[in-house]
Amino acid sequence: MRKLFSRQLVEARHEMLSIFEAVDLTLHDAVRAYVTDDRDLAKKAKEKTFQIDARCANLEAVCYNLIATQSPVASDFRLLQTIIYIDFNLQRMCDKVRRIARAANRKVKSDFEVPAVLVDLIETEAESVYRVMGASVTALVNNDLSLVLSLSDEDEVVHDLYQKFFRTFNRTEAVELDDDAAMDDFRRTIMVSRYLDRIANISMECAYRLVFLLTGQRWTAADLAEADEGELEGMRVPSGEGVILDPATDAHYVSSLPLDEVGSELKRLIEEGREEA
Amino acid sequence: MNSTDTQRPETASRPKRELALVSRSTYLKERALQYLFFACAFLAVVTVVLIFAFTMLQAAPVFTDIGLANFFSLDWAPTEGRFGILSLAAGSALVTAGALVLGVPLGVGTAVYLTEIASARVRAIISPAVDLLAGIPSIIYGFFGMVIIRPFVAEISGGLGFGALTAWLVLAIMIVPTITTLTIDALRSIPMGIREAGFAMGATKWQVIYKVVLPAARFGIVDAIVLGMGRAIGETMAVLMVVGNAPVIPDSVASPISTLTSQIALDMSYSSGLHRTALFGMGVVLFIISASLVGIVRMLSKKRKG
Amino acid sequence: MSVYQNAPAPEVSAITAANFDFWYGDFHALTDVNLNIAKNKITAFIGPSGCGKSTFLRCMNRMNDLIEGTRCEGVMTLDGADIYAEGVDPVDLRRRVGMIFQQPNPFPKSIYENVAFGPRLQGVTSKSDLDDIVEESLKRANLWKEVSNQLSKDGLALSGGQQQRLCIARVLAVQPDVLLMDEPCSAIDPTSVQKVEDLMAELAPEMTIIIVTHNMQQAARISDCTAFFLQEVAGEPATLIEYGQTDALFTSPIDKRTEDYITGRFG
Repeated sequence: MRKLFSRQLVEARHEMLSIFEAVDLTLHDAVRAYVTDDRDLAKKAKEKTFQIDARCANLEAVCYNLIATQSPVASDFRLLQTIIYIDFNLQRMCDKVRRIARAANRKVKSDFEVPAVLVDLIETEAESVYRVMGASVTALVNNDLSLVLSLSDEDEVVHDLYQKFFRTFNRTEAVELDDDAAMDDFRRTIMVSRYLDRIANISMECAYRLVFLLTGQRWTAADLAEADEGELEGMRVPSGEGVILDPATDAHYVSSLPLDEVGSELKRLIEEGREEA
Repeated sequence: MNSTDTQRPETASRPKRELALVSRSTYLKERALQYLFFACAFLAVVTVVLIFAFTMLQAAPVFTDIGLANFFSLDWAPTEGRFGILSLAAGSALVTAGALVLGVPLGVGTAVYLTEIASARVRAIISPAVDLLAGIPSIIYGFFGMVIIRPFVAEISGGLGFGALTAWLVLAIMIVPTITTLTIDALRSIPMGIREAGFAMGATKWQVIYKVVLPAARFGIVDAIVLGMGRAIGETMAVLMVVGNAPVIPDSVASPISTLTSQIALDMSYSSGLHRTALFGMGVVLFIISASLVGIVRMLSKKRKG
Repeated sequence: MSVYQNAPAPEVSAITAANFDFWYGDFHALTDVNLNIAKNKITAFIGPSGCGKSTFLRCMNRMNDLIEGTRCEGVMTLDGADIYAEGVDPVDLRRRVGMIFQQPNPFPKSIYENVAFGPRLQGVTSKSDLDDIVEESLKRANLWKEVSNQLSKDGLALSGGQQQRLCIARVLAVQPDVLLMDEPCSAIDPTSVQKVEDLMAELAPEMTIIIVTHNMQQAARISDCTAFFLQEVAGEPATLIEYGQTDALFTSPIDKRTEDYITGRFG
């Protein structure tokens, strides 16, 4: 029964995962453009973010339409709520990625020189962010509550690197700049570190919503940081036909992610998927 | 959106065809059957009209030769030229009234018991009994009345036992099946939901019956009574055998009287001339009475539907 | 068959059932039902056709006694007193526990007489008292505005939705403590359904209401607690699968069978 509706739910879920992958990959491009001073890549990344925005808007409309017309309850409703929340947060992440791409462009255009040590720190921070995003998407694909709990530690790593960046920045010698406009440009270029920190944090919040999807309980980030895995598993409620938990198929939609950044379980699924293809 | 239908190319070349529903032979058969059934129904109308006309024709001399004053007087003495039917009409009315007073409670009570109260096992015994009662020929009722009831009435009243009382007892039993069957139909046509609603409001079984079910079925019950009355007025044979055949106003319930129907049956074979005309006149009166009863029933049905 | 209870036991239950079983003759229809109905709240019974929810509802005002051959085991109480005990008068019980049926069934009398039926049974004779009761009941049933100037009109001449509200007014006139509603909205038009739901919401604080419904959205909209009944195997008795606060049950049901039923994946 309700085959059409079940299919629509699964399609919405796959679209959400696919957008997540797109944001991740575009972030890679934007950071590489920043580090290697590649204007073309920065421009391409910026355009990709506009496409992602359109996809997010469309997904949101589809989900609200399903809520209005299908009167979902229980796991169907939880899934739609989760997708809408994650979709909104993907838009926020995408906005940050666009700013990183713009910063990369400005870095190339401008006259000032960003110290190499700071650029290295940004690259290191970005790698940690990739790991956070990879872990988030792994948790979402595999419905893995234990992985969700470990995210706060990974996010801490990113936050530490962000703090280290600004400490280092404050201690370097003042960069000589001509006027206010140049000063603003420099500031925006430095903010990339903050954007990366925010992206990791938002990604973690997306993954936290998995708890609501699987248990029906709304937990704050603070509570989840201290939660016990056994306790969470005990609160799981049955998922229905619309929330088909099928990691192998879901993995297909995130299979372009770099394999060393995702969790081991997802890595295995992607590899198996590629073998079959 | 569905694509709009395109013009079918064939219709452009073929001329437009009349829409014929069926083949000609079927069509003719249908019409023939139609006329056949109409003829059957028409026959009923024709029969009623003919009978009425015949009776009216034969009774016409009542106006001219007997005179209405004579006809509607109390004095029935055909040999002396007096043809007053009032005492006979009074006899019919008396007999019918008494039958209804006894028969209606009996009939309605039986119907209520059978539909509302009886269990399936009890119903299996009583219902066939009621149907059998309806099937007994009136002459048997007459026998029963003459042989069993009359002596009984004679004992308690002192006379011969012919009279209104005996007729009441016999007629009451005769109209019970009519009233019971029609009342059962009326009660059954009340949907079960109304009874459930009554029970759910905290009414006892009796309260549901006399406050909810019987008022709801009132039109049907009145129908039943009117038709029972029609049967009682028109009953000839059984009444003839127990009523005593004295065309006078009685002084007690156990003294002999006569009714319109019994008088006609008694005199018809040997009557002639004005006597016979008077009998036909009584027939017309009976006809008018039953026509009015039918009219009342039809009027009530219309009221029920409206 | 285990029963989950994620509803807190109400402080004062209007109706409770414990180890309740029910038979139609030889057919075992319901088994092991344990339930506390919260007082002055709306409780919904949901479940596929034939799952015993209407049967259980009708046990609460002993309407099943009117069918030959029925029997039950276990305890069912109203305000603490066992309603199936020896010597309990079912007629009196039905005055305290009113019932609305799926097909509207007003009596073929005038609107006034329909509503006055109950009070007359209870002995009210004064015309002015009856007038007041009739007016108040029709107002509570959201029907007064539509019929106040035609009280002598026949009850059956009203539309389906109006007839159902007339039946509700009729029951309200005897001021029951509990109102049982057996799919009251399935046979009437959507506007009337809306009016009936509104009046249920208005009545709820003063009256315990139990509604059997096939409409999942309706149950989710109006009830405070929901009970899910199911006959899993044909021929086996039905039972209570899950019972709890409505928003919890409709957001994250504990039993997979509940999840599948309310999302419309079977039944």
